[in-house]
Amino acid sequence: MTISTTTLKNTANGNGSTTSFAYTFKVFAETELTVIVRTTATGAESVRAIGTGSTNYSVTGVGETSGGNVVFVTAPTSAETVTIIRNSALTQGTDYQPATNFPAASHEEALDKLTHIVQELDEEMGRTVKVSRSTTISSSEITDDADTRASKLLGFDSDGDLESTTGRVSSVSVSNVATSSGSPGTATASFTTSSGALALGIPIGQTGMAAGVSLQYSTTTTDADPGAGFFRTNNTNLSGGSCTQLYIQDSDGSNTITDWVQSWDDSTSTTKGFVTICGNPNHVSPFVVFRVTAITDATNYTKVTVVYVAGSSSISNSAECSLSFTRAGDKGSDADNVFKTISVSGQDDVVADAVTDTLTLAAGEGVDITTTAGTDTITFAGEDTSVTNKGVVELATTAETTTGTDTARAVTPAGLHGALAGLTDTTITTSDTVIFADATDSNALKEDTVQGILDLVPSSGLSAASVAEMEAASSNTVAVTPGRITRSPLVLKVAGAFENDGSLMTSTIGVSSVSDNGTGTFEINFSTNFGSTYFTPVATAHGTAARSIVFDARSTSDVDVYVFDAAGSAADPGNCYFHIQGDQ
Amino acid sequence: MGKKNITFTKSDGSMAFLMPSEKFLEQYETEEAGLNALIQKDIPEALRSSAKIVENSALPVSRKFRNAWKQNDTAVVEDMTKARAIHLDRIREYRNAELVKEDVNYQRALEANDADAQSAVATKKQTLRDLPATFNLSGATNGAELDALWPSELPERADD
Repeated sequence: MTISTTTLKNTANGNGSTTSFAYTFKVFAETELTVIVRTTATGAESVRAIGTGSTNYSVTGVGETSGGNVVFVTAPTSAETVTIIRNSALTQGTDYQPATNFPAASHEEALDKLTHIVQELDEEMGRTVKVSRSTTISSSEITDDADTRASKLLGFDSDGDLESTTGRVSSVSVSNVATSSGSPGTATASFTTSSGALALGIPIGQTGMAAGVSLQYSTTTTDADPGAGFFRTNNTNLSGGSCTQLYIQDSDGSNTITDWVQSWDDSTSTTKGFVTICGNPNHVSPFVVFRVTAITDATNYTKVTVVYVAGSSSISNSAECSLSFTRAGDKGSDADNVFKTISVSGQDDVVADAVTDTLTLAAGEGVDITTTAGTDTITFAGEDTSVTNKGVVELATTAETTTGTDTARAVTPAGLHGALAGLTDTTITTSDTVIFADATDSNALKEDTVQGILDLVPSSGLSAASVAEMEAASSNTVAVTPGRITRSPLVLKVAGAFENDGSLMTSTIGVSSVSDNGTGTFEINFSTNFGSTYFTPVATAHGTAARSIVFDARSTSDVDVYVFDAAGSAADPGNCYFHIQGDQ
Repeated sequence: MGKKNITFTKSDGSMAFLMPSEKFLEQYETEEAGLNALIQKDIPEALRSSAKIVENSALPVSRKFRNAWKQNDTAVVEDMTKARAIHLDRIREYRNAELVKEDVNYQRALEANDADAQSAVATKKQTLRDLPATFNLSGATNGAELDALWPSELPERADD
């Protein structure tokens, strides 16, 4: 049999389920196959072996011209590629004996194996680095031993021949290269061939000046021109609270900075901004921050009113400093007037104690409070009043009052008057109803008919008491009239008081006058004569000393009053109060 | 309308006055009519001729010499003879109290056999006895001046 194909390698992708992969060339033994599983992503190759383990495989079709299959115990995954390649043994196994048969089959098989070996060499040669057939290479051999070749690259020498060459970088280091002020930096690089070390030098800039305008500090504290390029303070103790003024020259020595300094009070806020003073070139010390509150122009310098905020307490004389200013924003619009405290007479104040404090509105009896969050609305509404609920009541009109059927509205005096004025039936009949207060029942309102009231009146009526009946004071069937009441012996007839200054008490009863007849001697004259001299006078005296009172010389028209002191001598009483009961 | 009184002279020559009741006067159309009615009603007929209607302010403010009051044409004044007698009675009243005190002082001096003290008490008592006769009240022309005169030998008067 001839060998008409040069195929000696098959490649296929795994899918996680296929275990059988075909090879399409002839092998004389299953060991002539090399099976490689390659992980696609990493390129890692795994040469598998014949067997029954999870990574092993078996072979079919050995000796077949069309090939056979490699059957994996575990199917390669979709991330794996299967390569099956023939790898014939480089041996010759056909043994011809002299004077014996020369069988064609074994001879052809030996030729086939040789062809296989040639094909396999060609395949491997096809994967090597070569120079083209139209060019030459004098020496394709590398003569350096392994130690010499270590850590070197494969290259070509000046003749184009192979060599192991240096150039492999084994380490890299970087360092700063200082520069001088005003000059560009110079980068450096060096490579040590023996070690493969690459050293790079990178230029770095010098420490920069602190931001701001450069001025020198003067420890002179006088409120005067500090001189070009200088500034001073009104106190060298910057942090003690006594340093309240900066005196800044109009020039930093080269440029006019007046407009800049005098713009520091542009803000409408009380705090105009903050001025920061840093030492140069090292801004760490001194470092002082002042709060600026005002600016005042002066000849050749500007006065800046400041308040110490933070930083150093002093600056050395002639120290070079950098001044920078941070402007405060303009003052915002004033807040609306709001009340913090809500007071109710006789009640505790409601005070907003914190910005998160919440004012809670509570509805009292008869009042409802509702809120609408969407419109920021609080609504106070009175509840409708009823016999069981306090609330808001609508006033009844005169017409509604007159009709007298409405149970939800309140009657007003005007409505009641109008309703009464509008009554047309003014004729009272015995069946009409009368409402009255029962004095014997806590004045509870009750009603009865007119006839019921009339029934209370005795059929004979009541007659006015006579003088004799009044004086007898024993009848229960006659009525006392104003004209007869004075006839009652129980009624006070005369009462009053007089004073030493010759005047009578205004509200006297039954007295026409009192006669002052001398020290401690008086006479009470009655408006109406008593019926007899059997009346009962009583008097008391009010004064600073003890007094006794005696009545004498009584008549139906008057009675004498004598007032004595404790020694029995006639004496004025101060004030004398008297009353007399009797029959007039 | 100021308060008014009706003065009149009693049969013993002393002066009295009526304090009218306003309620009584209100019965009449005018105050004068009421006062005249009061004269007719409350002053004995024999004395009515002396009745005069005066303002209350016409009466002396102090009643210390009330029993010395008398009418004149326009006002009520003190009868100074009666007033001096009233004032002397008051001096005697205080003098008598002082004599009682000096009796006690004399008794103590006697018990102490203090002749000087006894003599001093005797002298003072004699002075007190002579006071009504020796104390000069003639210079006073009205009650207020009279009341201001008070012997230095006597203690201050209480508010009487």
